[in-house]
Amino acid sequence: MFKRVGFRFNADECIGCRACEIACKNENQTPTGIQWRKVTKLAPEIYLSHSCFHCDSPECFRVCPERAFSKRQDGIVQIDENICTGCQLCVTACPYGAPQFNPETKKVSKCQMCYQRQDMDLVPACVEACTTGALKQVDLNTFSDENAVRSLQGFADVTITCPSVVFYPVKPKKRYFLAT
Amino acid sequence: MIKQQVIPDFVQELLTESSKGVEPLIQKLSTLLSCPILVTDPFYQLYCSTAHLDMNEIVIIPNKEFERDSLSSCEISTRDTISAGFVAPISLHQKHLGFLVMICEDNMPDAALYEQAILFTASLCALQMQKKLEIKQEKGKFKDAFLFDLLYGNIKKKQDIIEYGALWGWNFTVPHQIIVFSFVQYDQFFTDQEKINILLQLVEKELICQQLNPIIMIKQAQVIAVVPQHNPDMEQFTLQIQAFANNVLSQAEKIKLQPQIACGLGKVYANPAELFRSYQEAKVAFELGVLLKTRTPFFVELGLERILFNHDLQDLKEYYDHCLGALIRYDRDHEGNLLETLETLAAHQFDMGKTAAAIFLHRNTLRYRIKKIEEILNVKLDDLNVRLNIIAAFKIKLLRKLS
Repeated sequence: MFKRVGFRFNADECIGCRACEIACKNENQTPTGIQWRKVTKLAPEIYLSHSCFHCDSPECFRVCPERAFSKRQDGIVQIDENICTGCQLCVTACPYGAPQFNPETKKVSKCQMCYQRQDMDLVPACVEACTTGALKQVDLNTFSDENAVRSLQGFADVTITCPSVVFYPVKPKKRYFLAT
Repeated sequence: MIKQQVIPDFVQELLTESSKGVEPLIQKLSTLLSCPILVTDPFYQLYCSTAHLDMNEIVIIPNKEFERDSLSSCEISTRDTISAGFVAPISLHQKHLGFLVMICEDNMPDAALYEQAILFTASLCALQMQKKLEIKQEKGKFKDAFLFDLLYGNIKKKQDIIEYGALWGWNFTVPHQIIVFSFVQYDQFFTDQEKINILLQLVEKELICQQLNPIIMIKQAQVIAVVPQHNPDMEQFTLQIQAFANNVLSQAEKIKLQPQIACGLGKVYANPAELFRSYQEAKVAFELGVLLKTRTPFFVELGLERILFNHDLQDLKEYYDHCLGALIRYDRDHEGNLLETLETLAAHQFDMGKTAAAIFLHRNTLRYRIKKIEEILNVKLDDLNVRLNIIAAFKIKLLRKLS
């Protein structure tokens, strides 16, 4: 059976340090204004690190008139910038804002899940850089945890696209008071 | 002193024949018992038979509950005849593979006379059927790799796809369409392989019934069928494909396959390198079909629904409230069900007669209610634009699960 790589994100463990963002930029040398991975604030003290989720039913892939997208057997969705004509249909179709248009090159690019690193049995740069272990890579064909959920509050609808990501929801925080 | 065990002659004979396959094996058993023998799959579809009868459709009615490793008496009903006989389950390592059936043409003999031979043959059949299944699975690995690349557009050249397809006897020079069957409550952790295999068998069986060389693949909880457009008349083909999907769903309902299954149908593409679009479309149709409770959702028929589903939720909620909010509030304050009446009316294309029949109302009562709805919403329901707004609002309600 094929491996099906995906991300596992624990919202409780993310402290918003943006190490994943920097590692992605450093690894892929993306130009100014293009960020394949972003950290956004969902609520006070709740962060979400998001990039392309390499969906099982990628909408970018379906709408591309040039067939520039392909999906590897391990589930990574790739874009061939040489084929891309910059029509930006994929940019509007993706509910997660993953494909990014570069106005200088007139091409779209997106996270390729560091497939060169994956081929050498290394995890993606963002996962390696995560300081708290909030972002991890898992094989979704074997991953099983009853506490994991498919979506977080504030995250885009996953119904059509089935993104290759699982989340651990935010647990209610306890407050302790010191008696003086 | 060790007592010498006697192995009956029939064991040796059956063992020798079993190496040649299931058919020679049951032929031998039939000769030994002087009775017609047949083997079916777990859904009573004929696998092979020694009887020269019209046995394409058979029903086996056991006289009591099947017991593991034991012989039961049963009735075998074919298109023209009803015969009595014995049935033994064919299973290996608790995996059910089918049934071995002996037809008694005259009167029913004592089961004990045949039990040993039939159960032994059933075990040999199980070994052979399992071996065949494993070979099929091994061959399937290469097929799956090709189908994965086909479904995700990884083979860019049409000619390459046609040549690869020809290896398995698939003709990709004709247009194809993709149908996805899956479980309604599927999530990415769904791993009940046995249920997925049952679904695969149902789809495969139905395709064979339609005399099509099945191009099927399992992917997680989905069974994906690539169906060639065998009928050049597009309208006829659409009806045939709808009947095919309906048959699979009915079969699943008949065997009470849980969780419930649903399907989605993509567009027909002449270029096999574009088939990945049909697959993605079929998955979109599947998801929207589940939300809209459509039995056989075709992607091409889901234009408005797709636009609404992809639209901003807050905007949709505002639109829904703008169209139907006054009626919802009226119903809530007066404990009425005018919204339900309007929903049924919209579902029946605003046809008074059909709506009245559907909700068991007199036409005059329905007319009174519609007048009331028009007053509350301050609209005229015979205006086409108003109708479109109302239909869109109800689609939003279904798609976004608004209450």
